[in-house]
Amino acid sequence: MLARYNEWKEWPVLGLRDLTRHFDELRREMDRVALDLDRGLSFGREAWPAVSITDQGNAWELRAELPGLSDKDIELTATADSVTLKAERKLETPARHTVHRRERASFRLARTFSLPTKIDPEKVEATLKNGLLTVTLRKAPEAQPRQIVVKASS
Amino acid sequence: MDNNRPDDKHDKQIEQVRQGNVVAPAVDILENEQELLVVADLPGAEPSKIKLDVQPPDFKLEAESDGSRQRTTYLRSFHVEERIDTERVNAEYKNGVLMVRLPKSSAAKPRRIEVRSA
Repeated sequence: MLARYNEWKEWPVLGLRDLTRHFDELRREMDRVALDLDRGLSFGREAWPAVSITDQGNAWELRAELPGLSDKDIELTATADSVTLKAERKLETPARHTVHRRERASFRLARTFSLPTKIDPEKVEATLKNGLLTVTLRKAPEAQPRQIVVKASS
Repeated sequence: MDNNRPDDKHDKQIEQVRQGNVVAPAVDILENEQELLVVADLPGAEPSKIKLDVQPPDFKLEAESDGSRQRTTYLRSFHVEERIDTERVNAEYKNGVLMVRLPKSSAAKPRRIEVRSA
């Protein structure tokens, strides 16, 4: 479509900038919905807790959303290049209550994540806070990033 | 012509909420004769950053996690038809799960009416 430059400028309500922003918003909203579906928030399905693993330089950090679980419900094992997380959540409906909405789900999770580098299984630290599990897996010495000093030749 | 543009201040506020990661938390709603029970999964939410706004018929839940790297905002609101005794609403947060009890006001509780035979 051909539009003269002036037509953009004179568009009464939406400027080009607003338009881009609205599309941005729409895209973000769609991403969010897709993420929710991915995470299994849809009704009646067994949810799969969200887990992320990020590279923190000298360590890998695994984060898992495990709301409602206490440390007794979580089992964590590590080898030289993998970590296994087992967790179970059983939901109970309080007696004599009618259920109007049931989005939260019970789950039984058993996942092994292989790591891109060797780690030191003796130096794994895990904390559980407000239903969020954070595991820090220190990389083995040979996998640690090394900073190389660049010297300018004069 | 500028009068026709959306209010800039208002737009910025929307933008702020949208930035970061806004998640609708999974919620259970249960009911018995005395109360409505709202249970929400808010993994990682800071207890001090959980806000409940009960203004019948609106019920709004807002929370923020301050995970060191990624911040998540939890946002959810409902329309509550039942009459609620707002004075007695109480909430408890444990292991990332929020449980809100909304006691029904006496007017909304079912009352048993005796039928006497003449």
